[in-house]
Amino acid sequence: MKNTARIISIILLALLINSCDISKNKKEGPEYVLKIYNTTSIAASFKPKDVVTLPDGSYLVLSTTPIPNSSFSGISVSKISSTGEFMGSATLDANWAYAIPNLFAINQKYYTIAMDVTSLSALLIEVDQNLVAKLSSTIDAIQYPISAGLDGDNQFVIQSYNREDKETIVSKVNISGAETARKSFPIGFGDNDVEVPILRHFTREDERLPFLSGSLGGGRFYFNGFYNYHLSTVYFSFGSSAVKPGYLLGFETDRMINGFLPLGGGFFALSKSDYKNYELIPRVQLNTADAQFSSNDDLKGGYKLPELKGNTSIKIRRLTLKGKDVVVYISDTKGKQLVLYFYDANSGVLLSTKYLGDSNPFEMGGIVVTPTNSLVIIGTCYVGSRYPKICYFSLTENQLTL
Amino acid sequence: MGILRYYPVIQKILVINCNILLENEYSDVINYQEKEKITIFRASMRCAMDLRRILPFVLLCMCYLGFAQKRGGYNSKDPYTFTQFYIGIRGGGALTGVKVYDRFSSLISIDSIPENYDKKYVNYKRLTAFSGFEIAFTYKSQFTISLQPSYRRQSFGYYYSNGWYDTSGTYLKLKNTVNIKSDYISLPLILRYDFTKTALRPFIMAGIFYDIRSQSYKTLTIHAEDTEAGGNSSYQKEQLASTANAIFIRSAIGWLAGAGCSYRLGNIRVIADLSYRSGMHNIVNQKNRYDNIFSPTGDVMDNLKLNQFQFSIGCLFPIKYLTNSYESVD
Repeated sequence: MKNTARIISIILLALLINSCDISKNKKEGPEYVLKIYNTTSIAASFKPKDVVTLPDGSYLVLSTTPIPNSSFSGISVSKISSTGEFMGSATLDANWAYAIPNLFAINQKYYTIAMDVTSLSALLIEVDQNLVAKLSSTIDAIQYPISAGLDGDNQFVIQSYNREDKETIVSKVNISGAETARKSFPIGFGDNDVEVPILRHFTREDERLPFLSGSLGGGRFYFNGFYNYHLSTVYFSFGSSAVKPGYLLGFETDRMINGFLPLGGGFFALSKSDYKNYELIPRVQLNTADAQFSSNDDLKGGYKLPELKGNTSIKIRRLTLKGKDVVVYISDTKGKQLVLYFYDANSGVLLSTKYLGDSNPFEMGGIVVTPTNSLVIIGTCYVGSRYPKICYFSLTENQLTL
Repeated sequence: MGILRYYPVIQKILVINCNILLENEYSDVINYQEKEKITIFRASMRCAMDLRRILPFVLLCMCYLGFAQKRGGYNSKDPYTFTQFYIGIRGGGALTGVKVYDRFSSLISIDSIPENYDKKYVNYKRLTAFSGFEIAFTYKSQFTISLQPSYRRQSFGYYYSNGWYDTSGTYLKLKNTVNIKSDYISLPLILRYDFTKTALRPFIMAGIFYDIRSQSYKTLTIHAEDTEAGGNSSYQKEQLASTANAIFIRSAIGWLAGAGCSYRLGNIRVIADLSYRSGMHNIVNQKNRYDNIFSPTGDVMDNLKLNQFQFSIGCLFPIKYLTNSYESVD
């Protein structure tokens, strides 16, 4: 009888322990969230390009949307709450064409650079937290703006294309829209006509080129754009009298750097495409002094990733996740998923890989880290496998095996 | 040894139950991985069927137990004769329905007139099987406490629709149909009261159950109505199948109540009953709600519990002889 009681007690205890998942389940929230902001209108197309966190924890999203009867894409801004609820969206003036895939947060004001569809001048657009957008200034001196970054003084580093003189121009512009510095780099009038790829960059979503520009610190700047016929990475100072800048030469639009992130101390996290074959180089030292040049074909030791989709751009972000200094590459795969590669920023060692999205095609937009160390990724989901809409992924720390 | 007379009946019950489990579902699953899993499942079912072969041995053991418990003679004042232990087999079928607590979807409509993505559930339409055994203790022939462990399947489904339209009249409409099959090891503990002490005994019963999830499977079939290519085309756009173990928590607790009757057939009791089982809590794993291949189509699980109407038949074999004439029942 004692044995029977003991066996029954053990069974009951085992059942009790096993049933703990019921009470645990009541308290738990999802560790992974996907939300797709759908509209029944086929014409309502949104492709997110960047996201920033607002002071209240919500997210401001920059998207492209079609402009009726125009080859250019328009701009839409949306607001998503910290829990992923859709709070609204606004389509900006149809005369403001989408130009660069960035939203900039400066002193709780939010900016993007657009292009006037008629004059092709750069436009500095300010968007507030209520999705009200206003034209901050028209920068007539800059035409065909193709990339922008920020320097340490909250000035924009804008790369543009000078069609008349076949030059790449990099300008520093303050938040009032005044150009405070400028430097031009010859592209050349050779057989390689850059005009076609640049115009296609503005008008064809799947032929966008990975133009980049920004600050290296210490008064040095970089841009990834056309220089000396080829899509190259160029390092320079605005005031430098050097005859030639430093550069990493590409080959036309076939071999180029398509992701570039300075890590400090002369180290960089890069990605490279070579005839649409992609390589990730999570930590490499480059000499960025003036007149130092090499070919990006010389960059060895990268990780070749045939799964990455051709004509894709690769975003590289430096984040602190689980207390680790992490470089995250985010891109699209041929399987139409989003893929995130997490590397240790200090060693270049792969920490983790994460794929997002099934069933429907996805494309990446932007990524931010929340105060609770969750990752929020905004992208495009092709609902019904056809219609691009904004989607929101949220991953808690537990979802990341770093 | 007379109990062996009923061996063909018992064997038939087992065969019917296993066949229901085998033939019932999965005909719509095309996924290769799923097929592999189904093969494993079928193999385990075949093992269960093989239990038939050892049934005579089990029955012999029961007879042996009966002899071992034999007393010198019946005495109405002897408390020994007030009680009886039974071992038996059980099987039956069930219809499952869903009670929804909270609704969820990965699709959020941002239209001024929001599109409705609520799921419409198909309740109590799919017959699934269960089988197991029973251990019962009866006091004074009328009060019984019974443990009825079984392996059971619960199947339910739902559908939801979405569509996209153009001002030109072009549209794409999708109807998403989801089927879910969840297998559980069920441990119900039941109290039964027999109204009479006759050969045919009507009874009522009530109890609680604790179910442990074993395997879950989910299929999603998307049918499209599409005018984008010029005409009105209707086709099956996609079919996805996956295990769904992460979608549900392991435990399910609930209550049950029902009625039935038993009939004395020689020295055994044949029993049949109808009952209603009701879950008492949400069985969807909140942590993994969105973490599955279906979520980009809009399909994420609502918070829900499962209820079932079930019928069950079985045979109970007594362990003790109560009289000198080898009477075990009554």
